[in-house]
Amino acid sequence: MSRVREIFNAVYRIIYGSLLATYAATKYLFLRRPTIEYPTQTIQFTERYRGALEVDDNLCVGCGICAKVCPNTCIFMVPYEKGNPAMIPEIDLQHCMYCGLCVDYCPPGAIYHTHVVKIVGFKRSDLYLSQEKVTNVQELEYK
Amino acid sequence: MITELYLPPFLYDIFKSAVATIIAIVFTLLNVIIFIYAERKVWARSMQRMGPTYVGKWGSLQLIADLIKLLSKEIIVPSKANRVAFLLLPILVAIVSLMIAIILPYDYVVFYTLQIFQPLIPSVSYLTKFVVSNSFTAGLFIIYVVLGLNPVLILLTGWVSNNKYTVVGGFRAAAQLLSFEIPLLVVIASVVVLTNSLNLYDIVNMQQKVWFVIVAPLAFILFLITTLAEGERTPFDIPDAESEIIAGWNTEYSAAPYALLLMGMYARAFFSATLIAILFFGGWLGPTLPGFLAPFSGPFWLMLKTYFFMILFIVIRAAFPRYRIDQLLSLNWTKLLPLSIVNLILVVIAKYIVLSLGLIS
Repeated sequence: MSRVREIFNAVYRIIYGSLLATYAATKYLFLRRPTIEYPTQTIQFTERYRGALEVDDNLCVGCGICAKVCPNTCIFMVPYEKGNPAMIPEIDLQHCMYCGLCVDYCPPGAIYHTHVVKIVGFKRSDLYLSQEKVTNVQELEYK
Repeated sequence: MITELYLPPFLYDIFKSAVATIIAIVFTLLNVIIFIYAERKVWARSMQRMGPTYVGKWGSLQLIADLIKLLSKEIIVPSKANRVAFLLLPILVAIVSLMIAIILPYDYVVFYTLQIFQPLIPSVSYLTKFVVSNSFTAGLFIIYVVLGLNPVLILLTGWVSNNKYTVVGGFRAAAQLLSFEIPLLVVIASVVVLTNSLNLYDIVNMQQKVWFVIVAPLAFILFLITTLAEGERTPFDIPDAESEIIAGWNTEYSAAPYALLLMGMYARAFFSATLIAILFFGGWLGPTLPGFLAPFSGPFWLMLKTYFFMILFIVIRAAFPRYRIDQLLSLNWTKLLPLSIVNLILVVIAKYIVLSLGLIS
């Protein structure tokens, strides 16, 4: 009698397991996917999302605090060609870790995070934000 | 539009068969593309990936792009392989797989779908005379005779490639396909016992009152398992287990021969889905569609059931892990074969009950 029960148990487990596996696979067909189609779709960024850094040259006073607090020393103060302010930060995005200390310390709030995340280039120098690029980070956006 | 052809009878028969065969094969190829697209898409979705998205709307043209890529690539033949056999065998595999397209009622599907244009073009009704798949009195038998050539061809394909992975894959395929043919044919014998006919049209017409899945549920389950194994589909894709023996018996193939082999495999899986719909789920029987779609209802129900089982094959592929070769053979010889014989006995009893209830004649 126990042998019969064993066989019935085995058959039950086979059927139950098969149905459970099929149900699990079918369920995922109708769930909302956690991923997006990367180049054509973008996710909704939160307000304080830390993307690539940008500098507003109308607000910047050229004090250099951002370069001093940067843990990776990837911010360099250079003479600004347009003249006002006298010095402006240039940022090496290869070394930037997006910690946001420069944003916290900037007295006039001239340096801030954008929502630019598609930071790609064909050369290493493409990721170096020179003084022309650092005031207009949107042109970094991957097309 | 041709309304009548004045040809001698034998030429007329040849013409009719040629038209129906070409239509059936083209329909099969179209469905193979749909099958591969559905497989990539549904399989990806059940793993929460996206599947093909980039080429065309929802990636629908991805398969066309893949086909063009495969056909335009260089055909590489291994230096130690038998060149003639290496290039000939994929063609034979494709021919063997596509030959049975004419026995399955695909010409019926195409010609009766065209009948919805009958109010516009009255002479289109002449096309219904071109259906030849209803004339195979031993259709079900011929299908498995032709598919019985497959293990030999696959073993040879692995052998002539002169590669250890292809040989291992070929031997595995031969062992699997030969051993699974026995329970498969016993299960089919049980359906034949129910209907007294090997003609697919007779088998469908016997299910007017009750589908055979209700009369013989065990036969349906056994047929589903064995037909998955015969089509080398997961969980029985041991001959081309990519994590063990690269791509099994088609490892050395590339470009157009690979496309032919792939087409043959998916065509067989598609035929299996159609056969399940015909043998157990009443084929084209179903409620008549309203209005001008009425002539389309037969093809509609047949293809709906076929696509349902196609999707089921894909979901099974996503849900189940692969068997080991020893597990597979022990499953076959110690479980499926005794069960199929038990099923044959049960079907005889079920036929007696169903006959006394008057559900089949």
